[in-house]
Amino acid sequence: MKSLLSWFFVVVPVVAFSEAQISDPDLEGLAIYGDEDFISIATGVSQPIAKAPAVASVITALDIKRLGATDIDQVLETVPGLHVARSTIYNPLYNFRGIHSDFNPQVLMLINGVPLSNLFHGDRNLVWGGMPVESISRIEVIRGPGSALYGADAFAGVINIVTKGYSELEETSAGGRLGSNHSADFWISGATVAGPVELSAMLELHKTNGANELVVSDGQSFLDFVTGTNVSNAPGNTNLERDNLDLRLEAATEHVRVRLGAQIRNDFGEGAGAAQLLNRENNFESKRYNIDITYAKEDFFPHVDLEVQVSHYDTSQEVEGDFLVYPPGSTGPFLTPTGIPIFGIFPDGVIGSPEIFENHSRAGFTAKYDGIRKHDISFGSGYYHGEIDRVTEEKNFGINPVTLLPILPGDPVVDVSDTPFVFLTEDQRENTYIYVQDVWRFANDWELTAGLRYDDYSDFGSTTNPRLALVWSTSYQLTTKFLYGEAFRAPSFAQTRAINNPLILGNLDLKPEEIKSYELAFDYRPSYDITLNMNFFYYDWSDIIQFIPDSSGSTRTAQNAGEQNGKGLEFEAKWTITDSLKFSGNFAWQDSYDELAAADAANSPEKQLYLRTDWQINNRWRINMQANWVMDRNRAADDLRDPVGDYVLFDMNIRNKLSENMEIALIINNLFGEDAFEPSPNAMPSPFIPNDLPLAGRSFLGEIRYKF
Amino acid sequence: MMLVLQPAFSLETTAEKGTPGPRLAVVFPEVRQPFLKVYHTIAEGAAEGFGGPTSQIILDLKKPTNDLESRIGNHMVVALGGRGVTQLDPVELAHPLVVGAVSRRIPGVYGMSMVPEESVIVTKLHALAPETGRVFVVVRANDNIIDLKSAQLAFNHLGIQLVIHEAEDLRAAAVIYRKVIRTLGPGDAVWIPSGDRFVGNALLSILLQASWKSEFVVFSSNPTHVKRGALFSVYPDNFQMGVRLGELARKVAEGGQQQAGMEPLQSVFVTLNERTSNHLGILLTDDMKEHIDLVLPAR
Repeated sequence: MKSLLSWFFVVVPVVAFSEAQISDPDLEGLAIYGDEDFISIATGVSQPIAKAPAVASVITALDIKRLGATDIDQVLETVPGLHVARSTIYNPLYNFRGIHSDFNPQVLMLINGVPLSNLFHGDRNLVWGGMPVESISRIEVIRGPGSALYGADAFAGVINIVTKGYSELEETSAGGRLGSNHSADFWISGATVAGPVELSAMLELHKTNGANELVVSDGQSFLDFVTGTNVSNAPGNTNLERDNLDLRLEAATEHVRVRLGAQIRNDFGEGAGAAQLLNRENNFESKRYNIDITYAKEDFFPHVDLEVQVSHYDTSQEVEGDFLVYPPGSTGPFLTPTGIPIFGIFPDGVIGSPEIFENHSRAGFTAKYDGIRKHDISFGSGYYHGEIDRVTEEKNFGINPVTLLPILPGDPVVDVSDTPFVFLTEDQRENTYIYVQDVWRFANDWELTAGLRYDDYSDFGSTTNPRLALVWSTSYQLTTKFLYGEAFRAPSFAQTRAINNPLILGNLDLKPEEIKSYELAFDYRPSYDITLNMNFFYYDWSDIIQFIPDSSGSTRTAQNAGEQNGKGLEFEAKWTITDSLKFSGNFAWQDSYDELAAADAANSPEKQLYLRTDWQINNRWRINMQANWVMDRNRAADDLRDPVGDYVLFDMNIRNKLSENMEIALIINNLFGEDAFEPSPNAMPSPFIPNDLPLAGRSFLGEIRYKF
Repeated sequence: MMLVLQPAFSLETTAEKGTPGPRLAVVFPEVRQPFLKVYHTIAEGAAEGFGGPTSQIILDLKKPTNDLESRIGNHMVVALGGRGVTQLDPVELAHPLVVGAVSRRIPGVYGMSMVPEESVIVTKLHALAPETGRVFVVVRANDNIIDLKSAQLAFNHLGIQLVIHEAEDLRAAAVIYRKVIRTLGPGDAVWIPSGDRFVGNALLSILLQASWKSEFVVFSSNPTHVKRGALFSVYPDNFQMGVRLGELARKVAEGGQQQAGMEPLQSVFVTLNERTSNHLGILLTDDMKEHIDLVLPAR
């Protein structure tokens, strides 16, 4: 019998499957599953991904690893219509479809459905410091508005990060990287079962000195020119030092999931300067902790699936030592309109050390009802309480709260916390919301999604945002979507409550920004190897909150001043040439118009081309190459500089699987050492950093990962 | 996890316990994830079905397995996967071998194949597309992967006519498919059975485009076809398969199982393509949803 068995398995060929099918003889018997993607789904390692009726992209952990990405921004840059620009402290500005602003609050980023938006600037935190990717299971990116479902700030786009759970961390594994700029990464993950509870954990550490790119001239250079001082640190290098810790813990039973997260940022270098001045001594830190408890049960009531989530998110933005806004020997920005220093020289520099502590609590539920033929109805409601519960500031300018006299150059630093002279008012915000959505399959091949959400805010009133999505399965190969959506962006506390700040001032009368968007999208699959997506969009963005320069010249105050509209298209192609060779790419074009300035909108690329090949050379070697071409970034209408230079960055990731347990990789970013820049903000009478913000040159990272 | 990584250790542990009665070893090759998870789940099911001390022996396919005989000892053995079975070929076993997770029914051995019993898929078709009156299938002449007789019986039992076409080779199969699909419409279905070697990407595309146009059902034993537009497919419930293998091993060990033979797979999950079901106007009732384990969402 034994020899019969041998003969059977030797002479009977394994079922000959087509490309991407399971054909490894060692896996005989498992070919029944068809392909590896499906087996991952069938074994619970991954889930089938339901895209929202929207223009959406999903990037999985496997894609991320093959890209060689080490930070989420590298992944997001590959999404069509999304360009990651940089603020002067090199925080990411996720520019969707030409929508650019100084702090980028028009994008909602969530981790496991919980928003990361801060109250202070509406961004992800000034001391963001990046987000490592090893703990990410997938990233879902929706281009266009999503307030009908997600509420505030789901405006230009939504980025939802889903972290890995038990099934993906079941194998204990660890890894590390070493490379350019003294960069070092380390991560370790594992999971276990305790009775009915699945426990998983991941720790990621990241430390780097950061790229040292040359900034020729900064805000102090301009002041030196005007006031005759000579204290600028420019020409000098960007400070992108990072010391990050990211921890994710999860405990899950059949219906309840508890997730905890910590993001600790120390020694955060401020890039080209929060005040657009170089100073390597300025370092910041941030501590961010989150917990969410999610209960989910299908058929909680007949035909009703229920999900209840409560969450809490605690954040801080802190200064290590003093924050030197202007260097020792500077006059600071305190000049008369004719450029004469008001206070003279600050021998210790202009010091302002602002710190902010926030907390965000949420409770909400979603019920899905499928008891009516042809309808899937979702209904949800929730409550949010957010608070800037502590604002501290020490500074050596402005008014001394004790003497009520001006703090003069040479005076010691004064603690103005809890006084009317602090830079921001401590305050809170409450929001209650209710939404309903119906997916109606009103005919074969036709599906209409209609949603409406009502939000009530304690500080700026209420807003109602609808969305409509008509999805038509036009043919076997083609799906067509017609989309309409409205969204709002809540004014941040810096825009409403900033006071006594040398740079920006708030305005309590602000209304939310609004957007209306129309999209037509096609998903065409001419063969099983080729997927083509194309969409056209038009949007109208109104009541844009902008910091408009005040007549004094040194400060800017928030106003609902702007209006912008834009149109464009995005085209995306994926081609599986063979089982081991894949090609993908996308092209995005947008033409946005700034109504207030009566000029083309500034700073976002009007064209972007991204190309990528992924080649599995053999069982051991794999190489991924990509090119990202960023084109046609306009200056603001009143900015006299030449347009921002285009750039093409090439990245390469070579991986070698030494064994089933061990893999090594070499990651080269900016392979050809291209001089690439992101636009620096304009200012009157001239930009503080006129030569733009330099991006990192060529860098190398060696990686090793091991499964125990 | 330690148990998995150190099979020899685990065997000694169970032996030391001196548990009376037969002991089971589930032997399978070390393959990469997510495939390994399939074997693990089957092994967990086997432990439950066997109801006695059970250990897992993971074979490193790159190394000689000289010590396998001593590691197995007098255990009852369930071997998983074709490679798992061949690795045991030179090993003298104390009990008849039980085979699982292989793609064909092998005559003369105890075990269970990954090929679902025909009646199972017929039942699922009847539940999900109850209007179906005729089913067409193209099979390789003299192929024995599926049991056409029992399939015919199962279909007829539910009032469905099974029309079988035999083809010698791919070219002949393509001619038959092209001819047949021109005659199909609502109420008809095409079945791509287990072990099919005819329907590659080109033919599948023609078939599914025709099914979209003429609104007939395509169901397949390959779940990947569902991703591409077939209405539904089935795939193994690995834990339950393991349970059955464990029960079988227990019976064989106790001499209760007389006839050697491979059982077809009974416990399956169903995956359904939502875009296709919407196109066909299939309104999923609660009863139908009971049959569906995994919906592949519309794009």
